[in-house]
Amino acid sequence: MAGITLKNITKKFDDTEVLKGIDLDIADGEFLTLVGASGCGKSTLLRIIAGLESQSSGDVAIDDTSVNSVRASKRDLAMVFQSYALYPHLSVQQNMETPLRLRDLSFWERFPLLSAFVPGRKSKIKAINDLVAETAAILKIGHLLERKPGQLSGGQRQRVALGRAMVRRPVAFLMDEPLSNLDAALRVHMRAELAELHRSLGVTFIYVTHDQAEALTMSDRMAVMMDGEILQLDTPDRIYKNPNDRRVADFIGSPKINFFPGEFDKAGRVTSYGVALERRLNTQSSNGVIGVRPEHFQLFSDAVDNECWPFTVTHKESLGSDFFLHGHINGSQQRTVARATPEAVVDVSIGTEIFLRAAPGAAMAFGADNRRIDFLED
Amino acid sequence: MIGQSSPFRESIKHAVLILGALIVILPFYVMTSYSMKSQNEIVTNSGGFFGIQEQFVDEYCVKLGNPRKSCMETPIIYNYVQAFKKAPLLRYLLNGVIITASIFLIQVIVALPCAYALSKLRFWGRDVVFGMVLFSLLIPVHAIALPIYIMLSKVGLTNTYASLIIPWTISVFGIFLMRQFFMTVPDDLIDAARMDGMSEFGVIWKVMLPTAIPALLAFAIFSVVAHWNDYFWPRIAITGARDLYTPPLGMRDFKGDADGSNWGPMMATATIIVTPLIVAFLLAQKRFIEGITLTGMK
Amino acid sequence: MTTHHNAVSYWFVAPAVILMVVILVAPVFVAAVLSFTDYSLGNPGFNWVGVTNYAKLIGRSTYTKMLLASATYVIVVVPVSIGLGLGAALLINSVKRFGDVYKTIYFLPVMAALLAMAIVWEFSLHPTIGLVNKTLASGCGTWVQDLLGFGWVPWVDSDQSWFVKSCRDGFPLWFGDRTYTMGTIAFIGIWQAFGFNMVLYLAGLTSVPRELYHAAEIDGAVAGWERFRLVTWPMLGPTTVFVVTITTIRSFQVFDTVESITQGGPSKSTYVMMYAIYEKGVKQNLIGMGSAITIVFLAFVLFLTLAQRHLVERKVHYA
Repeated sequence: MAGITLKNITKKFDDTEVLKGIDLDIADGEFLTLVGASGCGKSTLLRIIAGLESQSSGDVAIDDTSVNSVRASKRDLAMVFQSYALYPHLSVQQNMETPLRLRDLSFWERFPLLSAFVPGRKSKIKAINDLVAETAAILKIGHLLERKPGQLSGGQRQRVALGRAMVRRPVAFLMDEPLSNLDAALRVHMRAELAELHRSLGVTFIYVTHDQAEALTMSDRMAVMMDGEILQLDTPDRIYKNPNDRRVADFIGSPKINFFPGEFDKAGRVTSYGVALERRLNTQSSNGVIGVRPEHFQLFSDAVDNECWPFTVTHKESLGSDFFLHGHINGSQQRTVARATPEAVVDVSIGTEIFLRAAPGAAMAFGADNRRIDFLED
Repeated sequence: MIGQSSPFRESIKHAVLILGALIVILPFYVMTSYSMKSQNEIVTNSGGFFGIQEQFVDEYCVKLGNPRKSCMETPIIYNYVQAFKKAPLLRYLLNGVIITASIFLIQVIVALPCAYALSKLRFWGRDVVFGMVLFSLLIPVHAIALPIYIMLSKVGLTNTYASLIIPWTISVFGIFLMRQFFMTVPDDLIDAARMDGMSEFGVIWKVMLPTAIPALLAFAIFSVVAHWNDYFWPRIAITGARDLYTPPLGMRDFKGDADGSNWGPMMATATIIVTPLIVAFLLAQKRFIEGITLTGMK
Repeated sequence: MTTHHNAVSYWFVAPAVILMVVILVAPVFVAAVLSFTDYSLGNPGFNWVGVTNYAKLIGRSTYTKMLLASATYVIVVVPVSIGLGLGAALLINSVKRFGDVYKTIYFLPVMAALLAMAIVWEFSLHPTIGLVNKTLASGCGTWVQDLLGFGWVPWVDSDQSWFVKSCRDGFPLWFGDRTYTMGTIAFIGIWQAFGFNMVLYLAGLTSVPRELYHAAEIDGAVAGWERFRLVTWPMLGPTTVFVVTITTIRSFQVFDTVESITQGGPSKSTYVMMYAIYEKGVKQNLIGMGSAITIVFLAFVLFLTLAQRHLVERKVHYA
C-alpha cells in the first residue's frame, strides 16, 4: 500500500513530445483513471509508472522513494495488459503461479528435475498453490485452472490476467484498457466487478481507458488527458458538472455536449445565434463558445423569453425511457442534440419547429483558448 | 528499462557476430582472392587480397612453341580467360539459364491452374486431388532420383535438356503455396470477372496471377536458387553429353581434370558460377529474405 | 459457390495430377519392385532375388557404415545448424546496429552453389597450401600457441594439447584423416544451412507479441535466459517444428560435398545414403541395390516427417 507520485514527467520519441510535464499525486488505495483519446499519452504514462519505459525527464516515486532507477520487476507493481498477455503455452494455474515462482523460488528450486532434491521446496510450492487457489476462488475461475488460455473466452482470459496480477499482492494495480477487447454487454458487467474488486482489496488501481463511461463509473478520481497533458484531475462528478476546459467538456458525457459559437461584449454579455443570455461573463475576451449538455435543454413550443433558440427537428431517437431530438438551431448547420421525456415530445416529429432553452445556470462558457470562463454571480 | 544493455554487452555480441562472419566469409574470400592470383602466389599464400598482378610466363603456351616473350600473362586476366577457355563455361552458364527458366515457367503453368482449381472451384474429386498433393509433399524428388533415371533411360531421354527439366516440372510445394495465397483472394473478385464474360482460364492469368505476385516471386526465388545450384540430379541425368552440363557440373569437371596447377582458373570458375545469384541477392535482399520467410510460414 | 466446374477443373488439375503420378508416385513403386531384383541398366531382363538386397543392407559392413555415416551427419548437423541459426537470430535481433549486415553475410552460403563452395572449402582446408592450416601454422611459436595450448590452465600440460601437437607434427588432413573427415563434411553442411534457419527464426521472433515480454518483466523474469525460457522459446515452437523438419530432410540428402571431396571415404566414413545410391545405382549400375537403399531412404524421410507432425504439431499450436 503506497502513494505514487509523478513529478514533471516528460517523454520524447525522436522529436515528438508525447508527455509534456505531468504532475500527479495518487493516493494510497484510490481508483485513479487516466482517460483520453488515442494518442494522448496515457498508455505511455502507465508504462513509465510501471517501469517498462523510462521517462525523458521527471521523477517517479512510490511511497516517497524514488524508483527512477528501479526496474519494473522490482517495483512491486502488477499490470493487466490490453491483450492480457497470458502465456499461451501454460495453463491458467501455471500462468498465475509464474510471478510467485519467479519471486519466491530461487534458481535451484525452479530447475527442472533437480529441484526435487532441494529441501524446503515442498512447503514453498504448497504456499504458492494455496495462494493461486485462493485468488482463483475470488475471481471464480477455480474450475478453469487446468485449461490453456486458447481454450478460454475473452471474459475468462481477463479474469486470469487479473488473477495473475492479484496473486502477487502488489502495492498498486496498473490496468491498460483491460475491457476494450470485450463485447459491450460484458464490458458493462465487468465494470461493476472491477469496481467491487477494488473496494474489497483496498489497493491502488491506476486505470487507463479511452472510454469516458468507464472512467465516470469506476473512478475515485480521473485525469482527463490530451496531447500529453492532464487537462483536469478531479472526481468524476466535478469533472462532469464543472469541466475547466472545453476539450474536457467535449470528451466527457454521452451524448456529447452541444457547443454554440458565442460573442462576448465589453460588459460580458453573451450572444449566441442571435440569443443573448441573461447572466454575464467575467471576461475580457470577445468570443468563445457556449456549451449546453443535451439533458440541460428545456423544450417549449413557443418562445417563452429571450433566451430561447428556435430549433428544427431532423431526427428523433427513442431509447424507451428518454428521447433524443437531433436537429439544428435555425440559422446554423451544426447538429444539436437535446434530451426530452416521452411526454414532452408527443407532438414533436421530423420537421417540427420548437424552442430550446438552457436550464437556469446550466450553460457553460469557454474562451477561445479553451479555458472555462465563469459567469458573474448575480 | 527492460533490455537495456551496456556498451560492454553490445561489444561482446558484436565480437561474437564478427567472429562468425569471418568464418562464414572465409571461403568467399579465398575464392575471389585466389581467382585473381597467380599460381605462385596461391601456393605461397602471398600478395594480399588482390594479388600483386605481376606478369608470369604461361608454360603451356611456351610448350606450344611460342616465344617466351609473347607468353606473358597477367594473373587475373589469365585465370578468367582460362576459365572460359578450358571448358565451355559460357555454354554451361547458358544451360543453367535455359534449364532454370524452363523449369520455373513449366512449374508455374502446371501449378497455377491446379492451385486455382483446388482453392476456388468445386469439383468431384477435389479432396482426392488435394490429398495427393499432401501425400506428394512427403516424397523429395532427390530421393527417387534413381527410379526416375531408370524410367527416363527406358524412353531414351537421358542426356537431354528434357531429362534435366522433366522431374522438376511438378512442384507440389508450389501448388501448396499458391493455393494458400489464392484462398485469400475474395470470391467476389472472381465472380465479377465471370459476369464480365471471362473464362475460367482467363481468370487464372488475369485475376489470380496479378494478386499473387509476391507469392510468385517467392516461389521464383526458391525455384531458381534450388535449380541453378542443383548438382545431384544433373550428375545422374547427364552421363556424357558435356555440352549439356549445368554450371555445377562444369565446375566439378574442371576440378576432376585439375592437376593442381590451375587453382587460379578453378577459383575463377567457381566465382563465375556463384556470382549471379549472390549479386541478385545483394541487390534484392529484402525480396529474397521475404520469399524464404513466406515459404516457411506456410 | 454452388455451381460445379467439373470439366474445366479437370483440365486445370490434369497436368499436375498426371505429373504427380508419373514423376512422384510411380517411381516409388518402380524402386520398390526393382529392389527385389538384380537388375542392371542395359540388361534385357532381371532375376528376382527376394530380400537379398535388404539383407545386405543389414549385414554387409559397407552398408552399416552407410547408415552410420548418414546418422552421424544428421545427428551433428541438425542440432548445430538449428542452434546456430537460433543463436544468430537472437544476437542479430538484439544488437542495435549492423544487424542487416550480419544477416546478409550469414545468408550468403545459402545462395551459393554448394558444389562450388565445397571445392573452395576443400582447397581452403588443404593440408599444406590451404589458408586454414597456413594461418594456424603461422601461430606456432607465438602468443597464439601459448593461448591455444591451454598451458595457462593449471592442470593442463600444453605439450599434450591439440594445437601444440599439431605445430610439431603438422596440422590435420581435414579430409584425408578418418578422425576428422566426417566432422569437416558436417562443418560444411552446417556452414551452408544455418543461415536459412536464421532467417526463419528472425521471422519467428518478430511475431512474438511484445506485450508478453512486458508481462514477463512485471512477473519478475529479469535474466535473459528466463525471458527466453518463458516467452521466446515457447512462442518459437511452430518455427522450430518447421526448421527441424526441413533441416533433417535436407541433411539426409547431403551429396555435393561427399561426391566432390571424399567420394564416401576415407574407408567409407562419409559414405552417406545419397552417395551410396549414386555409386551403387548409377556408377556401378547395380539398380537392385540402389533401389533398396532408395526405399530405405524414403522410409526414413516418411517416418521422420510424420513423427514430427504427429508428436509436436499438436503441442505447439496454442491459439
